[in-house]
Amino acid sequence: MKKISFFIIMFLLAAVSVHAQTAGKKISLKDFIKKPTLDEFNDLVTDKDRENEQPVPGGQIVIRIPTDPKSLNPITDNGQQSRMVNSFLFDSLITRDPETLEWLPWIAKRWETRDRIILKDGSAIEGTIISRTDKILKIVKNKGTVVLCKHDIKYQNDNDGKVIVNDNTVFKGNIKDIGYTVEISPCETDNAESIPITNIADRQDNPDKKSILKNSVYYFLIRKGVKWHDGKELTVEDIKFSLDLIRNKYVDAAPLRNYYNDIENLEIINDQTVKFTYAKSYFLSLNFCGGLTILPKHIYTPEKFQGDDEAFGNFFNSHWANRHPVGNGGYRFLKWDKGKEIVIEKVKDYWAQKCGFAYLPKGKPYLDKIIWTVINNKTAALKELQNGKIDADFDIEPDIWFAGQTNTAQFKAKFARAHITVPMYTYIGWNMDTPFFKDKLVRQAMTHLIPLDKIAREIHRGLVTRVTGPFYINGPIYDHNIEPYEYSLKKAKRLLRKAGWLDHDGDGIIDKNGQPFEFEYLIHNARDYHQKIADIVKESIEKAGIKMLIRKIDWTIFGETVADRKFDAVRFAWGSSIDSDPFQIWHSSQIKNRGSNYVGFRNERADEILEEGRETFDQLKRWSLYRELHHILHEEQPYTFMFCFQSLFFYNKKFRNVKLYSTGSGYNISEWYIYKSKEE
Amino acid sequence: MKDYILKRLLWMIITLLGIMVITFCVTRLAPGDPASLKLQSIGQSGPGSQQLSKQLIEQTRKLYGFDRPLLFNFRNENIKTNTVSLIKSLNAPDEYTRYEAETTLISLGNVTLPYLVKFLNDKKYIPYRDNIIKIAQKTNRIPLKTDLNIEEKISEIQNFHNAVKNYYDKSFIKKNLTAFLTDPSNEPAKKNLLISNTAALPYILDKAFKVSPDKSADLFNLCAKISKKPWIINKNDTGQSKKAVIKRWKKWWSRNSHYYITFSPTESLFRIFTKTQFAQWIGMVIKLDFGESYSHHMPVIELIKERLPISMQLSLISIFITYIIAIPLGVFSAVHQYKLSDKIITVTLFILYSLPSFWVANMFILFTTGGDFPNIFPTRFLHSPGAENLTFIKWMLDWIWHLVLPITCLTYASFAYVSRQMRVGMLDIIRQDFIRTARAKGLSERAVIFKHALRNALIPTVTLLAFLLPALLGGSIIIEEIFTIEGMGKLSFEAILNRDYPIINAIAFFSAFLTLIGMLCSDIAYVLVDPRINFNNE
Repeated sequence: MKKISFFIIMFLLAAVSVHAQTAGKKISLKDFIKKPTLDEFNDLVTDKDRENEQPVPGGQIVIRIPTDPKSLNPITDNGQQSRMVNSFLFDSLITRDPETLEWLPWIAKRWETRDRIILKDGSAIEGTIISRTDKILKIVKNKGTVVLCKHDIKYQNDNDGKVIVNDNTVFKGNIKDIGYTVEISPCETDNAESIPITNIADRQDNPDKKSILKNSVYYFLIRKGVKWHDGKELTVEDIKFSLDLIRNKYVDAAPLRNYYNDIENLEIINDQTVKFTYAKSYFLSLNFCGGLTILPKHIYTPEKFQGDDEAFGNFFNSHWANRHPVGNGGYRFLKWDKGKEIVIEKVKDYWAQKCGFAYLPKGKPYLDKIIWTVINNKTAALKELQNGKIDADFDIEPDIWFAGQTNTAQFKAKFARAHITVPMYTYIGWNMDTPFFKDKLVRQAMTHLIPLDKIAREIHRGLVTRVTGPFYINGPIYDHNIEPYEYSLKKAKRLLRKAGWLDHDGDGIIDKNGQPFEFEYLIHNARDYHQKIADIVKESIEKAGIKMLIRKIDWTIFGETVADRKFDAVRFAWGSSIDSDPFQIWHSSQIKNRGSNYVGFRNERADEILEEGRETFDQLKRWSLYRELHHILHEEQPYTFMFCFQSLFFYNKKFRNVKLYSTGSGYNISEWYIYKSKEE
Repeated sequence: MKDYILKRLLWMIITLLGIMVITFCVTRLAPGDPASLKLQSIGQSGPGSQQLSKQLIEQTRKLYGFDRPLLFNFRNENIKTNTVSLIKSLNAPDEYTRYEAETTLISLGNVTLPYLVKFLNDKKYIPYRDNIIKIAQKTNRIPLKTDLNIEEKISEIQNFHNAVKNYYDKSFIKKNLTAFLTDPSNEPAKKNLLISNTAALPYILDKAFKVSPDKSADLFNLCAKISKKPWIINKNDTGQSKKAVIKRWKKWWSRNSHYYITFSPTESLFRIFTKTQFAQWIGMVIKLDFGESYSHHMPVIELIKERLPISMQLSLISIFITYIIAIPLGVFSAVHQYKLSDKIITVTLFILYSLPSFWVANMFILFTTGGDFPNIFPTRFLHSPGAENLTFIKWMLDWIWHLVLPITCLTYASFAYVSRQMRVGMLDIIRQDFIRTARAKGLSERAVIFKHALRNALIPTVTLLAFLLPALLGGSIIIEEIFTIEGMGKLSFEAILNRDYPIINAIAFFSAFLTLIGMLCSDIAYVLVDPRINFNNE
């Protein structure tokens, strides 16, 4: 009884705090996201400079990369280096403001999102769902929510909701101001059609639900005048070609294909419009179809293969453009000296500069050249930085960060020592299908027993932040009000006793039902600090009478061992992002068949949240749902959440307009510029 | 001598085969495979379920050729077994397997009908009946009323099969095929073949591969019509594009024939040994085409061509310097045996020998490459960026300047080994009678040592050189990593980490080959430098 009431109180607390966050005053996106400070780590910049920052184009930057990329194909190579280089060469349909997370038109001039319902006779209706009751669904047919740039608007009347765009298209509906863009959605006065719910087909994967697929159709209007670096114009054919490529099973892009499997089809409506139809309703759909990497069809000539997917797949996998990418972005590929350096240069007549984007300042990207140079050895990299051969190193390891040479006044005067919290977290996962960790109390006791502060201090040298849940600590979902479990042997012992784990036979090891508490802790050998952490954990939990065996296996089989659930406890990490979907990790359906929920977490409310979250398109609503999940996870402790790491880097202080974001890689070199003082 | 070399060469082939079997087994038995390693990066993925990523692993495995068995293929794949397994997959728990099976079955067309009818009458297949009926109906366009019960449907399908049985008959198809071939405008024969549809496909293709290209065009176009493939030969196509289409058909047929036909016993036996990963790999070795790297997506040979010169210049120069310095040192120690100078040399060389090269290399970088210390040497590469625009002299100087540190690190440790070898060899010779004779006849010490002793003492040291051949290829992982030199060492190291089998296999093959060649050379060198050794009368 006590346990239940405790749970209810915790739950109420959770609900109240979520409520307090979302209700009351009107909350906008900006309240959730920390705005980055300009040149935060550069003490040469004064607040006055920050106000009058005026970027000047020109110059170049040399950046260290620790290894040469294998290839520069943006589809088949998912290596970090190739992704970084390609992010400057390839633009996508839409882009996202890193500060406000607002989606912005880019190659697409505007886009329209529609809902879709599938009727029992197999036909589909597209439009916007206005309302839904148990019996009737009201839908405005063939009309969706349009997002377009404010600077494209020629005429706007807020009273009747009429908007005329500079290409003379007329829109009418509810106008919502977002920032750089406006959203025009159909209003209730439009001719909505009523459809009885009974006419709607059941979902194939879930017969309890109806096939009402919100936001599952996307229309993109492609801008004219978007040029590939070889001068040809980007067309809708290129977009179709790119999706076909990813979905060709002979193209070595399986990791990417995973994201595009739910696209039912891509239709070319006319020479400027494409339509993506999704088979499912999912809040990340816009991310994926809008962020599709577009490749130039004319370079790869798929028509020569007459539909032989296998032959074309093989041809594409080893195409010459893997070593000489042709893109459409603000930088063009210049040369790749294998094993030495990659050089890209600014495109002189960048198409995006002619589109009048309010969110693209004149002259941006500012630097004329970006050079990545390979330096394997971190000591050598430091020397090259000091010798002025490189300007920035984004792969600083803690020993270099703390080394004497990088902490001298001389060094600090020339280089900024910057750090940013990375969206990821490490954890110890407790296999909940073992007799030890079945009980929530035991898992809570384990968290009480692990000296996380000591590990942070001694192993990670203070370069980590402790987290209480799976969401990014600087992101909008993470609830800072949650009190972390403190290190306390007394509390842990009390919890273990309550769960029935006592030393019945007096051998110094606690037991229950005749089974001694003796479990295996799984780690891999890729980094040596895992062993050190394991030793600390082992020593600490022995005090509570628990025996822990450390099993260390090779990194290459680690992933499989974990997926096969052959462990009692495991130390591992997840990457996340500001807008990630926690479904895979926590939903109970993901336990079977080597899913990512390998600890075996089952919770009805969590399942509900995860299912609902996937189809909740209102960011604020979804975030408060996930906040509730954060509370549940904190209470249930399927993992002992440990730390999120800092990414450390050095860069030359002459670079200004440096902003560190909580999204993406954390920095955006295309907005950096070289500062020249006025005397020069 | 000739016989001996021939014998050795034959043995070499057998040894190489053995080595290749072992490397093959070791690479495949090592845990982790490239497909799942590549997908480990997925992390939190899209809306699809986890079966999806399992499916993707399978696709990637297939792409890399891992769907085949390792050494022997006892799967006995033919039209019957494949149809059975596809029918069974239609009841699989995950939708992607079901989807794949269904699309494959539908693309196979009517050729499976006789087997489907057989299954429908077989009690074993009762759980699959619904699916079998569905597939039979779809692939043959049998008009079935929806209100029929299962038994009625089955008898309908059976009736249909009895009606069209003739079109599955071998002799009937062959008759029509011959008629069509002699006169392509023979409409009834063409019509009959089109009704036979995919059942006739194996015979048509078989014929088409045999007859001359100008005759086969009609046959291929008929196949294209039947199998809905776009590979058509037009009348005014050039010879080259015709060949390309034929090649495409051949490739397609070699990949898919097991869905359409039953193999004769000899063919089945042949398939046991050829349709395996090992046969695939041996085939590549025989053709000297090592395939494409999984991670670089480039032919392995090209990758080796890029890296080999880089590693080779380092190892050649370092071997040369080692011998140039170590041999005089060895001679000197032998001549001054047990004197103070011998002891100093020995101790120094052994101290050098015991210094780990990664530490020395890092010390060099720390103290001689700038920062807070003097900037004497470059930290990485073998040439400065943009060195290709320099004049030859400057380019050479730049190159030597870059070589100093890596070469030093590569050589200092081997001084001890070579000079010890030399010292021992020299001491052996000095004690021999002919040296005493030389001294007795009054030759100067210099002439004794350098003219008489050194040449003989060099024999064992020179033959050591042969064993260095594979080292030329291997490169040094540590030195290349520290000085950022893109050589063979790094290539093989990364290949091992990424389980990039084509690279691993190619490097293993070349190293084994060079070792064997090196051994042969050293044996021959013995004969050449020492006439007393003779292989013929062992």
